[in-house]
Amino acid sequence: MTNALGRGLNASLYALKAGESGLSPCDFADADLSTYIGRVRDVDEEPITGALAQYDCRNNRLAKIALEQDRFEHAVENLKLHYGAERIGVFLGTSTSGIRQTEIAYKQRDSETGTLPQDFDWARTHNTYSVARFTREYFHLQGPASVVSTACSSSAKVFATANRYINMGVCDAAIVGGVDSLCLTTLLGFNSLELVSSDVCRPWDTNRKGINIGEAAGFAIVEKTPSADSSIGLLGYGESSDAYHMSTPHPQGQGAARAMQAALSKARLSADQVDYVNLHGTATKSNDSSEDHAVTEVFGTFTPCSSTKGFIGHTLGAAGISESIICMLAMDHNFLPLSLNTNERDASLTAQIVLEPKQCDVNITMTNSFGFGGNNCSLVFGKLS
Amino acid sequence: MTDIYVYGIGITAPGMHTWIEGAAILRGDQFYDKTELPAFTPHLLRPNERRRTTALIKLALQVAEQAVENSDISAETLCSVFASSEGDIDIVDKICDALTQADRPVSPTHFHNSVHNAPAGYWAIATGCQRASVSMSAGAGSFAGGLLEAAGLCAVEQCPTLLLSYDLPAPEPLKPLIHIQEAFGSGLVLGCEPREHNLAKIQLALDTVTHTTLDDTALEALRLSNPAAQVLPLLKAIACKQPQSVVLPYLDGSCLNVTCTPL
Repeated sequence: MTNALGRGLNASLYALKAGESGLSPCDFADADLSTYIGRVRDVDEEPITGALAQYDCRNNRLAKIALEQDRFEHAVENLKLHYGAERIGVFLGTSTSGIRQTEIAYKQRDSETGTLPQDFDWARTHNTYSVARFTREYFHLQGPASVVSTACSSSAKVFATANRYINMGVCDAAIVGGVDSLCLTTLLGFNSLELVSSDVCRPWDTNRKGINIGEAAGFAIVEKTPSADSSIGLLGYGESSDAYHMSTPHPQGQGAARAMQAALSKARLSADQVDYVNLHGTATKSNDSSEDHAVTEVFGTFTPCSSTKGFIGHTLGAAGISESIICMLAMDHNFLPLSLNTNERDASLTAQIVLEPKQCDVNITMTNSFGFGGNNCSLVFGKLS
Repeated sequence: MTDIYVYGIGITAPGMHTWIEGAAILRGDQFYDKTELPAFTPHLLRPNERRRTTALIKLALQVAEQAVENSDISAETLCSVFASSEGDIDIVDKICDALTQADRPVSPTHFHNSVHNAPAGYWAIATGCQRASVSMSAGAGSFAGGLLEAAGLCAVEQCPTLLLSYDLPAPEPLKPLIHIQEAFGSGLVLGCEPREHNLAKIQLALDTVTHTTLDDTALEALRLSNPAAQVLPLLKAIACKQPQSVVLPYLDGSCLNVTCTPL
């Protein structure tokens, strides 16, 4: 995993426990916005070279950086030995793929003919499938692959997709995850919708003003049967559509509640068995209020919840995987991540927000991811006993 | 893998405006005359929404409506898969162009329409369908990838599923980089249970053999003109009512074998 907290799981684990944010004032390209971002440092200095050089773009660079962390490559090589390259799927999420590369190419258009630079490779950088194609080629895999792109729920939904492929027998294991990278399209696009905060993002806070956009890449492995060294399992998932509005969630969080209930039902768990809920918690007025309704409806007001977007920002298509891995860290290390930057909890919201980091047994967790177009996904993870 | 039944089909392509017309052409009963497509006019969108949506969204909704109408299942009970290799290239062009201008006027409507799942969002709003919906891409193999995703929703979630596959040609300056010459959209209503109205039964398996081509030169040209048009050999097998294995392009070094038994 890689995000604004640093490269690898330990960087995130340390910051989550210490309550240290990775957000910083926006210095991305010529965005010229008064906001904070969750930026991964030095991505500009690390192009993809060699056989995969045609895939070089910010999104695939982030993917490569994350693949190089946490002995992930080693785990995939073992997986290949165990199942064979043709039995391993690749299911990744992204919202904007390598659009930054197209933004740069448009800036470099020929002033007379309008043509794009010769070396611009749309198919390998910007096409929605790019990051899965890159990852499949990086590991020389031959199984099924696709990219799910449902805005901010993308890399949560890949767990459901992988489960279905494995269940159908199309593959025995899969690399799941997601990548989204900073670009002007999302910074200025969310700004045009007046959803970007000039302050650090403050989920569930009375003074929350909107989102901070972040970038991240994260990967995980799901298998038909757990390997000896796996400590966490996917217990359930729930997917739903709001059928309400393109960019605003249902005010009472109906679609969100349905996704959470479906995930619990799939996991055959009751709400009170869940030790921690990682909220979508984007820190816009309407999103947090809608999710609060939904969480309270499903869990009541006692289950510990937090949004970790105060640490890494809203990483959009990579939010699902980033926050799934945060849930896994919480279980592996038995702690509840706090809702960073929530200084004055909004009294009109009733979910039990974790305001201080806390050590305790964490055995079962849920993470929520809700996207534009009203696309919702909740995942339940648990310790394997 | 489990048997999947095809309950309904929709198609929109140059010279093929409905499944009835498309089936007659694919059977060889009707001459294929590649006429220009009229503007897409999905009926489900309210006029104000139709103005705010793009050609790609309208294309997806138009084939969705057609496929569901031709089945005996109501829209709100269907899970959905929206398979598109490229997504909304027109919107990408407009946003990236706006970013080169002095005041960078990124339109909020363009921005929320830019997500790959924008057609899925409008479909859910128009039909009230609250089921699971996956918007995805597998590049040039997006139809085969979408079919696998839809089979998963049918077989594992036990939910009948609407599979839509669609792409549009790119505007300049992206046109030379994206090899899509024609508009193409198709919709299949799929499920695991035989119903009163079944068009075919299919079984899927990954394969490494060569994919199926079409004998008719004009139809083969259409198949090659758009990733979504890779559905044509399967639709031909259904239209001709002949049991057949068709092989669809999927990923580098891999294709999808579809054993099709028309019913």
